[in-house]
Amino acid sequence: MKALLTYISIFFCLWTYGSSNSVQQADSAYQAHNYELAIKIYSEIIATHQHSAALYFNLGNAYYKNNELGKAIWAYHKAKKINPKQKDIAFNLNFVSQLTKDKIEQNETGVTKWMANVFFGRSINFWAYVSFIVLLIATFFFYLFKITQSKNKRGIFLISSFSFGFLFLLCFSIAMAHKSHITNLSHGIIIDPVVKVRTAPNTEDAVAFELHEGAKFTYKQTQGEWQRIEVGNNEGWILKDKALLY
Amino acid sequence: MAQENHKLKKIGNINIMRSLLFFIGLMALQINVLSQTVDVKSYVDKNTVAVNEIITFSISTNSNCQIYTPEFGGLTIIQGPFRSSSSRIVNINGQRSVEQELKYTYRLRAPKTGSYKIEAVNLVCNGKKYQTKSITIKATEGTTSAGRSAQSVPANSSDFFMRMFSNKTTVYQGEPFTISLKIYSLNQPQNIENLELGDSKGLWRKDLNPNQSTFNSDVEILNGMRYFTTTIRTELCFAQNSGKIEIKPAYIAALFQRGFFNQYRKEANSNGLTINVKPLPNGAPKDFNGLVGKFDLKHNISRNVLKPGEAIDLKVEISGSGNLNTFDDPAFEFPNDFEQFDPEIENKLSHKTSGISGSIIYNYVLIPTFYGNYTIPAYSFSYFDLETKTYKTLSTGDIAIEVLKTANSEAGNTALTQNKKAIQVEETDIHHLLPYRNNQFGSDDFLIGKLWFYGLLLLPFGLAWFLLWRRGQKQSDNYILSTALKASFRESKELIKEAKAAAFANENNQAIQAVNTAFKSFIKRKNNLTNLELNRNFIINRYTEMGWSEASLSTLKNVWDTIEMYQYAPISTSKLDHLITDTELLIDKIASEQ
Repeated sequence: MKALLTYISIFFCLWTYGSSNSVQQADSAYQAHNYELAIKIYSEIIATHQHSAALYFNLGNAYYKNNELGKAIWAYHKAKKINPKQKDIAFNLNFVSQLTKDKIEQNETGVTKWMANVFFGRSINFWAYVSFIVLLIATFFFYLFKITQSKNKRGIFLISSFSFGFLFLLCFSIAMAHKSHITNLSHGIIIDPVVKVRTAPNTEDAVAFELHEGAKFTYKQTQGEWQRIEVGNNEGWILKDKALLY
Repeated sequence: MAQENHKLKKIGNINIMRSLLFFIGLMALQINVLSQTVDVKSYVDKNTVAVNEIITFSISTNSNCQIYTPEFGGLTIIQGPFRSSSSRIVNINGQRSVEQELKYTYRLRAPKTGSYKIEAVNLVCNGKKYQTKSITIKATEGTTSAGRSAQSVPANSSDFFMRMFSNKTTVYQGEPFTISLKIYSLNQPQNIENLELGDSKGLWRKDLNPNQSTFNSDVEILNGMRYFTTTIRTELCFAQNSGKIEIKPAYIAALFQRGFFNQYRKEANSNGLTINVKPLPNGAPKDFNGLVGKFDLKHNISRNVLKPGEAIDLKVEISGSGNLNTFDDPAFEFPNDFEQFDPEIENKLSHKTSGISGSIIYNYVLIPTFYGNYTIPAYSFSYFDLETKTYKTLSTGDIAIEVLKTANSEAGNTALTQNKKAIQVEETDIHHLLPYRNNQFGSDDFLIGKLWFYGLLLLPFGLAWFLLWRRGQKQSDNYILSTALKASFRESKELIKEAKAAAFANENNQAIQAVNTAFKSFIKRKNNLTNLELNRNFIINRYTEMGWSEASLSTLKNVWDTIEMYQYAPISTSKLDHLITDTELLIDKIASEQ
């Protein structure tokens, strides 16, 4: 009997440690202005490879309230990648970005923004499912084309089959693009107050320019402890731990 | 002679009243000479001289005095005493008065080098005894020039200089204090040409008399010399930060008159000052803005209960004294449903040596536009009280206002007549946390890149291929088979019809042949048999296997045997009719079989 009770209590402990509850713990820590604890719990959840726009957004809020501007911007960008349509994310990102020092031209064109808004606003596997359904329809039309005798109907079925086949390729490409949009690390945010960007991956090399906390850059490559970055049309190297990629 | 001088000797008795009467009669001025305090002075024109250089020693008074001969301590009297009197009209605060001066002058000479002391002079004025200060004269070798007159331009800088004073040397940050600039000169300056103030970082300074055009000069004896002094500037100061504040020396240039046409110019720098500023103690309240002094906050609201559209007058008065220059206008957070106007501000502040004092009155007019119970949150500010050395907070307290609901139809219901107002959103902070909508995903939850998903994509192709293959199979055998069967069935039916017609025409033999062909060809086609297999036993066995009933089987046997038997023999018409009917039924039955 005692053993059973122990098992039950252990089970409950594990259960309460489950994802959803620790998220609530973090939220209540945030509401109690204990931002450091909130950041710790949010980060732990993310470390278990659990992601969601809300999670990164809330982490960003906690970072902002804890006066960690760069990390807050990074978290908002992460959240925005997962859910580009969410207005709160866009608002907070914009709000916090205005506090940064460096004025950096946004090289994100309208088309990519529109693409992201229209196609990447769904759940991560939405386009994979859609492409499967479209493929099913395409093959169904092909089957109808094969079994029908009437010439008129055969033509319609063949055209439909090819159209859906083309649509399938499109959806599949979007699905692949969506995955790489979320998982690929394409940009980064400076998290140190001032970072010297050097012309080569070496502390002895000349400083090309300086970036301040919260500055956004395009990530190029990693070499040892160094990352090659691009800001505007300027390139340079920074130490890995001075920035977070997203 | 020296002994004779030792005795106090009455040398003059002046009655100034007589001369005053003349002034009163002539000018009809308000004169209050008698109310003046008695002032006695003795002074020299220089206190360091060369041997044999002439010194002018003067005793001056503004009252009716008896003066006793002074003792010169070894200095030789060349001339004197000369008696002279002068008077001038002084205008102080709009009140005119006459200053009378009576002067006795001696010309003295130091016979040899050394230190001489002119003893204090005793006077009796209005029955009271007065005494001047003693003066020490230093005689040096120097460039003695007996011919040098006393009227020559004074060479040393001590004949014109400026001093800066402050009334406090240690103050709290924000505590008021004054600094004043005073010039000293042996001759009255004609005009002040230039005054440049020294730098003082971290100090708020304000001239207390910015439009001063006339200056009152005074007489002061310093080191035995008589100087005309004028306070040319008094400033009210507040230290803005703690620590040592240095006030750099000020510079002045003044013009003097010599003779009638000659003017000359003299320049001087004042001393510098260091003010020790103490920081305010820790623990300042949140709404503390650096105010130091003593203040009071009063507020008055015209009414607390009213209807929408009616006006409220809110009067807030801040009074007191201190560094009110740092006071910010009150920041009330009026409810959004209150129409508000910029307050009317009555500024009754004046700058005094004790600080900026007076009051500021803010008159707010508020017009509620909607009914309900509202609260104007308390406005408060804090100051540092110099008397008790503590922070004090003044607050208006929350002001409750009840706006009554008017009947909807009532005229003047502003809720009805007012234009709709857009909701005001103030975006001064980030948006709050987002809810979690069970859309969390793991890093490996993507279908793209998973082998089984690609397999799933191949599934429709496989399915279509499989269905088409199955279809192809069926078409190649069964389809052809069934169409042939249908044709055979139709053919047999035709033959049965022919047989019936033949039987009707008594062509019995022909009829039996038709029945034979119809029956056998259909059975053959239906069961897909070769000619060899088309025999009685095979057919019977097949249908027995298929589970036909005894009755059906016997009909089958009967039909078969009858056809065989009468193929080449005549058959009765009734039997033939029977056969035809049976065969037709049998064909239908077989056709209905699967």
